[in-house]
Amino acid sequence: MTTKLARFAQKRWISSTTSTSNMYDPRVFRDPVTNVQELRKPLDSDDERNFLFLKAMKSDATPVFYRDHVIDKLIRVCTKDGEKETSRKNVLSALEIIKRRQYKAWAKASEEEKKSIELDPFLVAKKGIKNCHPLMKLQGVTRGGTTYQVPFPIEEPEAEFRAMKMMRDICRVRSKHGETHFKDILATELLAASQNEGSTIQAKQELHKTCEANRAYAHYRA
Amino acid sequence: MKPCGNLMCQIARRLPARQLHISRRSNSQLADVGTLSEIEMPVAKQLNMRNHLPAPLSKQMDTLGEVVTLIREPMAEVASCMRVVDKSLPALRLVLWGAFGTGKSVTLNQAVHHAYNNKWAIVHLRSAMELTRRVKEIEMSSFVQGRINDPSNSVSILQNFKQQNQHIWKILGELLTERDYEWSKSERTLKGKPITEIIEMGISAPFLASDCVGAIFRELRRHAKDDKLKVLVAIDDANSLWGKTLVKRADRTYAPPSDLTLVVHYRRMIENDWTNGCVLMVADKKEVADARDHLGVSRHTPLELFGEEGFEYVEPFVPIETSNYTEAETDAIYNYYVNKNWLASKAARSEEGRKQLMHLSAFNPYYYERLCAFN
Repeated sequence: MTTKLARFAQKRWISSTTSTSNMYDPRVFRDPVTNVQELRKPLDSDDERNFLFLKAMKSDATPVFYRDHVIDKLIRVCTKDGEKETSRKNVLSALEIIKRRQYKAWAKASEEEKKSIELDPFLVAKKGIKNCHPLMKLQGVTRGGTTYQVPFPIEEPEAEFRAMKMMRDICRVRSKHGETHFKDILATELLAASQNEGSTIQAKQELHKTCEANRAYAHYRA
Repeated sequence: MKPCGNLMCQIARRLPARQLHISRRSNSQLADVGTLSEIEMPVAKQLNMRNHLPAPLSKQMDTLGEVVTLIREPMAEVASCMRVVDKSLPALRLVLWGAFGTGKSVTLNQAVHHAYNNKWAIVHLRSAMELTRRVKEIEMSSFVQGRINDPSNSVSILQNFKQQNQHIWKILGELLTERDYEWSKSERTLKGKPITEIIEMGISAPFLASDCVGAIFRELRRHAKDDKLKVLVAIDDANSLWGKTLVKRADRTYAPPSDLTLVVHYRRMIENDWTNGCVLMVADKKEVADARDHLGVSRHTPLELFGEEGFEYVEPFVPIETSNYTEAETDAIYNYYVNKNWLASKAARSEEGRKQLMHLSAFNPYYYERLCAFN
């Protein structure tokens, strides 16, 4: 019962505002060192961490050998209702599925074809996400009572986020009502995207087309 | 002999350091402890490993196209116990127990393969929990008042028995029934018929299958006593035979497991009033553990799991504990994965990755496999 209550409270159902105060007072807390190599070296003499408190390490910053920026971000983007553990399980199983499919293809392939098959699921996923990066975004701008969808240029991190979000939304729709499992469809999408195919790539191209069509509004950019 | 030994030395020297030695001894001897042993694909198919192995391993079998398992201490113990089985000794009862993911079911499957190599008869149950909790349809027994038959499970047990014992099917065909069996008014098996007829009868007539399971077990015990063949009874999650059931009786109460025909037949098989056989049981905590209970930790010792009634029933037995990997064992598995190119990422194939895999999984074989699966 208590765990249920705790999870209920965790989802911040009652409060709708963002948290204004952190449990860590920024005056006395500093970020921890999470890199093992850095950890072995002594701190600089003028480093504030010599005499201030350290924050606890985040669960997705543990120095495991498979730590990967893109995968961690994908896990965060796919998280629903604060259930990051579930999301992590989904994404990692998607990686497993990718690896199994690639391995089967690799085992069947001839010696020459084998070189072109990427077995590392992390690389496949990263390439897939990279291929989905949009070049522009559409943002509503209100001028004279009408809202125009105005194309804006975006930075690398936002492009990455939007690529993941597009993919996540497509996978969520496909896995509605238990049609497929989220991990299965995510694996399929990542694999397809790594070869510039699939619904996410289509969605990206659609977005590019709309941006192209709305280029006349570009002067509305404030 | 000597030149041959020299040659072997030379070959061994020429092999790279990480080369594996998967033993392919198909004879009746077990491979050495700490080595990998392969179950050939046709044999694995016959023994229905896809169903009987734990899900991640059966997936692995599908992907890698082979079944390679590590021979560990518990399996060696089981094999040495199986070696002493004799017609003068009552059926030897072994209980595999250990923490989650330490290889109880895998050891059970290895034992089944070992029995296959030695041409034993195999009675292998995937999970006793299926008999008590996954009962799709029920029928009241016409043989004993109040017993509940389970046609679908009975048929699958008989089919599985037929599939797994193809290697001695001829021998089984030569063994004859002891007495007349009258299944129903029209169906009967006469005395002196081959016992395989009972199996065929059960498979073709599901409403008789539960009784056929009892009959075939009875005949197997009798023929084992007469030293016609040796029998391995391998039951996964055997403590569920004394657990709770989800079978409802007419008055909407749950039936105790002793009312289920199949459970009674399997318990009868566990009894040690017969000889020339070996009963290998797994005590698994999935019977008592509550998946929604995040705080409680259930014990995994045989007494806790079998309960007093079950424990008294299976006593005396030889307890065999399965445990986590040692460092050498993780290395054997790691080298196998590297050689098969299964560890795909560069980080996992590095020395750092090897160490981290060991410690992140806390040497637990299940978690070790899970970690290797996506790296």
